[in-house]
Amino acid sequence: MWVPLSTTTTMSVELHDISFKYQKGPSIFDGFNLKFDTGGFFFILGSNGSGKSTLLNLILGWLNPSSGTISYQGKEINSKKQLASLIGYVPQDPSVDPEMSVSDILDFIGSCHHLSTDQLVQNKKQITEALDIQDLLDKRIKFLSGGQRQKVNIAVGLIHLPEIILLDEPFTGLDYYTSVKVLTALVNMKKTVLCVTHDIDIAEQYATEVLVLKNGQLIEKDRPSELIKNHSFFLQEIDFNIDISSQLPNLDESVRYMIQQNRLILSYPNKNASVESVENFKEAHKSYIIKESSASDTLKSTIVGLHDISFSAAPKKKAKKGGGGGDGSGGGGGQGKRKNK
Amino acid sequence: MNTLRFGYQICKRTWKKLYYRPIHLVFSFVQPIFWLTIFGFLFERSFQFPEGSYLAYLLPGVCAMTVIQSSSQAGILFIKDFQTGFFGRYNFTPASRFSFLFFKIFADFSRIFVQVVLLFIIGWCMGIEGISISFKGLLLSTAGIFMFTYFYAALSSFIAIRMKVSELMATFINLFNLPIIFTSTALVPNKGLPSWLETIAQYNPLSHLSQIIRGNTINADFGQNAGGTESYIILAVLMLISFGGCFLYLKKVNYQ
Repeated sequence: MWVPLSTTTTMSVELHDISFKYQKGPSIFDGFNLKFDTGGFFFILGSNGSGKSTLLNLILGWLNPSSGTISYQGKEINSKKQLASLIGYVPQDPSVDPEMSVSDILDFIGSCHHLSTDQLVQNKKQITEALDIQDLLDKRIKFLSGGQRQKVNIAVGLIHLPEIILLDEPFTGLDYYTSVKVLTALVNMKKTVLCVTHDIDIAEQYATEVLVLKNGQLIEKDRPSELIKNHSFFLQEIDFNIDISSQLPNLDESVRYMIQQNRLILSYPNKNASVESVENFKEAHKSYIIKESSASDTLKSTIVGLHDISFSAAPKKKAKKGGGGGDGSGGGGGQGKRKNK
Repeated sequence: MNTLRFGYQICKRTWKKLYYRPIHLVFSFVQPIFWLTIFGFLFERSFQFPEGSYLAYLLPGVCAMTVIQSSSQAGILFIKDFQTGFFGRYNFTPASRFSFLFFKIFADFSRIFVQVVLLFIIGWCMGIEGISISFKGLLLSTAGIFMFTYFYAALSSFIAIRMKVSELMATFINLFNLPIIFTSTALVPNKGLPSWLETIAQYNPLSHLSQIIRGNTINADFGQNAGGTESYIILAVLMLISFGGCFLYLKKVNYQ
C-alpha cells in the first residue's frame, strides 16, 4: 500500500558568504552564497571535486566554515545535537550494521533520536510502507539485496521525520522504478530536500531547482524547465563495443563531449546542424558502434552542453520484483571533456 | 524513561549479536576451562595451601582472567561500526554520548557476569571445594567485576575510537592482556612470585579483582590480602579515569 507520509514542518537553509578550505588543500568555497527555499526539492549536480560533498558537510555541521554563516529558517544553529534532530542524512553507501534486522536498526536509531514508543511505531510504519520495505522488517541486513539495503539506508535517515533531508547519491543500487517510488515518498514528505546526484534524468523529473557546482562555484541554479528553455542543446549518445576512452575524437569547437568507457556523449547547440567532424568520427568507427540515441532540449543535453558535468554511467535496469538488484549506476563514472576550452 | 529505553536498545543490539552468533560465547569458555583443567591440575602440587586446594584458588583468578579478556574486546564493535559506517549514523543523532558509552559497556558487563556465573557452575560441577557465595558476597564480587569491566572496556573502546583499525585493537589485546594476567595474583599466589613481581602484582588491578572475587566466593584466606576496601578504591579510581577519558573523547569525535 502506498501511503503518503504525514508532514509537520520544514525549513529553509541559507549559506551567507561562506569560505571554506581543507587544511592541506585548495580553497573550496570563497564567499559562497546560496539559499534553499522551504519545501523545495533541490538536486545538486557537479563533477568530482566540485564541492558537493563539502557543501553537504557544511550544512550538516560536520565541517565549520572559516568565515560566513549558515542559517536554518533564518536562525544560526551551532548545537550539533539540534542539527541532528532537524536534519535527516542519507549517505551514499548503506551505512548500517549488517548483523541487525531492519526493525532493530530502525528501533535503535529511533531511540537515539529520543522518539517515544508510539512515535517510533508510527514513524516506522509510515516510512517502511512508503519505501515498501514493511515485509523486510524481521530480516537481517546481511540477507538483503543491494537495492533493499539502500532503501533501509534511506529509512534510517528518515525515521525521525526530519525538517531537512540531505541525500548523497541515494539512487545508487536502485532500479528506475524503485528510485521513482523513493522519490515519490520523499516528495510526499513535503520537506526541504537536498539531493546530490549524477542522475540528471531523475533531477529533470523531480527537481524544484537544479544547482550545478563547479570548482566551488555555483554556476547554475534554476528550475529544470527554465534551464532547458534558456539553453537548447542537442544530445547524442553513441555506444561502442570497445573502450574508446583512449581515443580522443577530433571534433568541432562547438561540440562538447564526454567519454564513459564504451559510450561517447556529444552535445552541440544546433540540433539541425550536421556536424561534419562528428559524422567523420562515426564513419571511422562505424564497425564498433552498437547503438545510437539522441535527444534534444533535455536537462542532460543542457548540462553537458553548458558544462563538463559527469553523470550516471550505466543505464538503469528494468525493475526487479522486490526492489532488489543494483546496477551500480549513479556513481558518477564518466570523464568529462570539452573540446578547445 | 527515554534513557532506559535507549539503554535497552543498545544492550539489545549486543545481546542479539550474541544470540545470532552463540559460538562467541562458547569460545569464551575454552580458555578458562583449559586453565582450570590442564593448568589447575598441573600446578596443584606446586601450590599447596593449608586452607584449600589450588583449584579453589584458581577458579576466581580464571574468572578475573575472563573479565579482562572479554572486556578488552569491547572496542571491537566500535571498529566494526567504523568499517560499516554505522558509527556515523548513531553519532549524528541527539543521543547522549554518556548514556551511549555507559549502556554499551553495561551490555558487555552483563555478558561477562553471565560468563563468570557459568564458570562458577563449571567449577562446582568439577567438584572444587570451598565455593561459598552469600548474597553479600555476590553483590561485592559483582561490584568488583562491574568496576573492572568499566575500566578496561572503556580503555579498549577509547583505543578503538582513536585508532579505528582492527589490527591495532588486536595489538592492544595481545600487548596488554597477557602481561597483566601474568604479573597479577590471578593464577599464581604471592608466595609463588619472585619478590620484584610480587611488588608489581600488588599494584596490578587484576590482582585486586581476583582478590575481591576470591575473598567473597571462596571459603578460604589463602594468605592473600582478600579484596579489602583498598581494592575497591583502586578499581573505582581506574574506572572513573578510564570511563571519563573515553566519554570526553567520544564527545569530541565528529562524523567518520
